[in-house]
Amino acid sequence: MDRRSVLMQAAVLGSRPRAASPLPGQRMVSRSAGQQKAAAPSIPPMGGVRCDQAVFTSIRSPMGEGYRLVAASPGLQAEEKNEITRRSPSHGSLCDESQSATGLLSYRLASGRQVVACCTPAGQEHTGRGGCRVYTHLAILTQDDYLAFYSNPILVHAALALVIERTGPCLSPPPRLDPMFLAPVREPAAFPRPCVQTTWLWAMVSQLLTDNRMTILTGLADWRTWLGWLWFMLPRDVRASVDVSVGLKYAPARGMRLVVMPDQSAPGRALPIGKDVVLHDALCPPPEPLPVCEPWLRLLHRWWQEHRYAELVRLTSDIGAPADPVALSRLAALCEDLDRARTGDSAVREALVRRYTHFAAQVSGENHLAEQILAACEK
Amino acid sequence: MTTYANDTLVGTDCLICGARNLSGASLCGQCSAPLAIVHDIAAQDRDPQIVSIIGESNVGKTVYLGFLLDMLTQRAGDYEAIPKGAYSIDLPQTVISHMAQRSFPPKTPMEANEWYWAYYQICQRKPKPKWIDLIMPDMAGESLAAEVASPNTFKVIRNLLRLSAGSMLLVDAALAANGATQGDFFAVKMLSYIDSMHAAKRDERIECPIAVVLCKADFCPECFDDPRRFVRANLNRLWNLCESRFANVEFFSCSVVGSLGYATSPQEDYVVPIPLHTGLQGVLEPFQWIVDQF
Repeated sequence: MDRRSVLMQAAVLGSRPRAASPLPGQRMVSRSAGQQKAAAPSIPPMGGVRCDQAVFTSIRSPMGEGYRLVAASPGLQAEEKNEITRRSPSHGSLCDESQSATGLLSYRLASGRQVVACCTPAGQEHTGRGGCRVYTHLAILTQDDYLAFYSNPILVHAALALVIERTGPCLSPPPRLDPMFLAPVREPAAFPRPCVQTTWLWAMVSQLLTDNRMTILTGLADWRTWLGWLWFMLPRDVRASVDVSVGLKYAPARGMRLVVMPDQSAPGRALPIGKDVVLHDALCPPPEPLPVCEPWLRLLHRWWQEHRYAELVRLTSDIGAPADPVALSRLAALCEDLDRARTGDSAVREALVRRYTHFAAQVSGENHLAEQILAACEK
Repeated sequence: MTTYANDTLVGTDCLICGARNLSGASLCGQCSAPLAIVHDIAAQDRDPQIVSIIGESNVGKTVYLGFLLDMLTQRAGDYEAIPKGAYSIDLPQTVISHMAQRSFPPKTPMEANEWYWAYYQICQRKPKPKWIDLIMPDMAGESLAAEVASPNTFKVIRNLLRLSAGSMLLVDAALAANGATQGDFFAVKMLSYIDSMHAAKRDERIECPIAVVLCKADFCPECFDDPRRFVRANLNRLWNLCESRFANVEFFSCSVVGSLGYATSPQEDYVVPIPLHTGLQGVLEPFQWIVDQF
């Protein structure tokens, strides 16, 4: 991702990074320990989402050394800390160790809260044994607060990166890390759109809707915008249930559903071999989506080509459980009818009024769409 | 004789956690232990013995184990060692090649799928030939610390320690000699964890052999003269716990670095230790003692 995309994302988030400042990762490592700003709680912006935070990295302190949770908000439960420790990246986990590299980790804790983490290199490993220190700053949100970001980890990640850029890495942790405030999303449809590998979007929507196996995806050129839109394409109920890591080597202990390794970099010493894992290379043509998903994907694809991004996000964000392909096909049919109601002649509208006057909804969101169809027919 | 399933049709049972894995899987889906070990063990007639190398982060577990395995392969002492599988050679190769280039091997990641595992068939020639199958994983100190602080965070460690026939507890002698208490506290935590895992009664002491190895002893040569005295004086908490709860403990000193240099540059705020040459002392003795206890 280039600097322009970062600025565009920041604009979407309603916060403006300083134009002259480098990217978060570059900034962090160029600052020596003495120059780091204290990891004080960020000033609450208007309407900021308050969430717990934690830092997982390697420092030397009187209580020990090496990778561990070096600081956390008091709101974190012991079980949550254990799970975070088990799933966080340690030495050599970043696929790319260049100073501008960034990784993402998003998963739902057993407690129900959502973790979104920003992983960056932060200088050399402090024992001098080679390699960079992996710095992971985690935001821990309730599912309600996660909705303020449309349950999209890319949006939380971007907001978190801005906080890290402002405060610097927390390498001299205070005894208590207060909750932080993340800038919520104003206009998700204005999120920058990927210009390459869009055909893979439909393939991955199909994959995530129909296949519970772990998926490893390599070769993505611009993962931030691509994944941001992949999440917008998923029904709201599915978004929070897909644990995803980006830019981190595969590790079974992290328990991810989707592992994205952008540059086809070394996938770790041992990739899992077996029937429970799907390995995709985004540089190759995507697989054909399953027929059961076709009505839903056809709708998404058409709206995408017609630049109806805001409608698309609104639709997917309104879909609760169940969000299986059959339910989505029913919703897709209603959306097609809604379009017909808006553009069709009087005969088409009369037929639609007959069909939807006594419509019996089976899936959440159907009633709302049926009402919209009838309203469009009346106009 | 314990049997481990090795049927490509039904899958493989993990040696460490017992989980059933799909055929063709290289690592256990539950605990990330390499399943190649199970396949190699299936061909043998002996139950394997697990020896755990434990200690806090940066104490030198990887370097110690790497040199120990290399010495065994080179028939040091009265031993003959046959590594089973290429994965068993990875650790000594990494350690030796890094040290030859005057650098320490990289830090061991916490992710268990990145750990080195070694499976060796070892023959002790004297007094009479005795074959032992040894499995020695190189665990990350941070994972050990996390598991000790909060049991069941890393189940693979709990399972490994439960199955271990003996353990080598590495403690940084250089830090202890300087008055640092961190190593003492960590060692006490570790032994207290093992103690609670065995859940022995108050008046019973744990029989599992524990070799306490004082690492980096080249910084404090006096601990070579009398390791017990050194531990009693500098790691008193550890000494007391060993005396109270462990029936089978011995103390050793060891060093692998002959001399150490330090490198830095004006632009950096960290110092890199440079091992100028290796000088192995006391590496084999703790292992010899552990094997004698089997």
